[in-house]
Amino acid sequence: MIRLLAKPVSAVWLLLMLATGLSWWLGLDQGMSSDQQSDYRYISSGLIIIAFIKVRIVIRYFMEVREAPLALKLICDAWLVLVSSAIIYLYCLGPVPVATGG
Amino acid sequence: MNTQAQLFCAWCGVGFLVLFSIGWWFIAGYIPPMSPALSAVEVAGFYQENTGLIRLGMVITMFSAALSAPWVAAIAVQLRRIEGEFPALTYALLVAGAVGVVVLVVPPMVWTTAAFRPERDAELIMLLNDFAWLFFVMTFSPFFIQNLVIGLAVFSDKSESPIFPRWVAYFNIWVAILLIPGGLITFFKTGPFAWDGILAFWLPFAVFFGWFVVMFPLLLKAIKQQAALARVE
Amino acid sequence: MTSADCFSAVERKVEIKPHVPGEVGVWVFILGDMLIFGLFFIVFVYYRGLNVELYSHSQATLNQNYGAINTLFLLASSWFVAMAVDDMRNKTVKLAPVFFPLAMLCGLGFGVVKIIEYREKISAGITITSNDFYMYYYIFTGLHFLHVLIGMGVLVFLWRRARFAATQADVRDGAVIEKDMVLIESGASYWHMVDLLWIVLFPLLYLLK
Repeated sequence: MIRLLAKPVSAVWLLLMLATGLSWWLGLDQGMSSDQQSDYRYISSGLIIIAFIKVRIVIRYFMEVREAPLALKLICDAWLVLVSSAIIYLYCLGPVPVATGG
Repeated sequence: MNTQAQLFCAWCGVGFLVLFSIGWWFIAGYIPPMSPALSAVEVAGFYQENTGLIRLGMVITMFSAALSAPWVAAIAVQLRRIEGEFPALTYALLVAGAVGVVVLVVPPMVWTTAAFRPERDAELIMLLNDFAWLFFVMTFSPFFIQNLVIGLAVFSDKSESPIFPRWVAYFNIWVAILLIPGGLITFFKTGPFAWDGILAFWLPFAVFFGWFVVMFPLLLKAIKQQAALARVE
Repeated sequence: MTSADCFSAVERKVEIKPHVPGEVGVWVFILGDMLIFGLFFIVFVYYRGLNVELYSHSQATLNQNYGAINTLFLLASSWFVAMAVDDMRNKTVKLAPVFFPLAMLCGLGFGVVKIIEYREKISAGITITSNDFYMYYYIFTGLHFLHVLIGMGVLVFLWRRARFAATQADVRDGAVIEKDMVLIESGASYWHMVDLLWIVLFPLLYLLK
């Protein structure tokens, strides 16, 4: 069992669990006052970035793309970059959340 | 060997794509699709302004639809080679393909009915327009089965030199699944699942057209491979 | 995958040669699915931007804990599968026949939480037609749930292969032949994709403010 946990896949798995915990905590209402609402924009962008970092780890280590030919690596990374940047761009384009919204 | 006949049938698929695009898209102007949220007067206006073009476009569209029959037959011949003596999936493909022709033929006839007397009550024009669009976009089931059985048949190909490469099976099943969102258009007048929406219209149609583009060279290759084998024997 | 035949399962653990995990065809499906879900994500954020208030209000009724617990379930499940695949490359397969069922148990946990969540929402009168947010919520999570169900079937298949491989350890030199390994990697890659899609769905639906 110790041998299993020493594998890189297990290390990144621990990282993924921690990142999920962080997202969970960030996503909870932190009792923010209305003037802090604009910070949500940074938090939410952070949440999206965390999610896509997690996705890249899953692709690289769990799906073993890190051992795959360059073409597959590039296709996966292109997907990651395109989808994540489109999401963040469209998210930031939207109007600032109103105070009652949270 | 009837290589010539098979090649003719395969090329009918290209004919379908080209004529369908000309009639439905460029002449009648149904792309981009009109919004289902339009009022009856606006819908009737479309038919009153484009009466001649819609009538002409629908003749071509209606004709092109039948060209998908030989195309499906050409694929069926190759599936038959995979399946051998009891070709259940091949028969399923043929039946689904035949129903597919009906699904592609009826909407142009309804659209052209709307353009037949454009001076009709706007509400009636809208009824016909709704009927044609719902029939056209929502009826994914025969095409779903068509792609599914192709996928299953290619999966079942255990020979040393398969007639289609195995990824074609995954591709066809993926296409089959992507056609499903069309079934949701009955619930929505706006948004991505309406009949002009990105997920219910643009995605399935792009994928369906892409399917022809991917399958055509593979089909030609399979037919030529068959011809080469026949020469050896 | 003909190049895979020239080295045995054992050697591969040492010599890491670039290879597509599993069948090439599976990647057509996986990348195709990722493309579609990528489109889903973008469509969701775009329409959200048009009516942020409605989306925020509706999102507030979702229980973030369900979403987070489900993320943990799928991550744990993916780890079990990754470890099982790794184990199957050994000469003697020991852990895989245990780890695949554990992965399925996590998948089952995901399903139970999802059903509890749906029940809560539906009994509160919230359905697919309530508003746009819930339309996306039900369609996206529903489609993802469908992927989970298919994945459970895939895991059953992998489990059977693993049990078979475990019994064959004495008979064959390398426990799992290359052809089987390709199937195992294909199924595992699909299951990891199910995990990956939820990793993005979770913040988009539950957390984005």
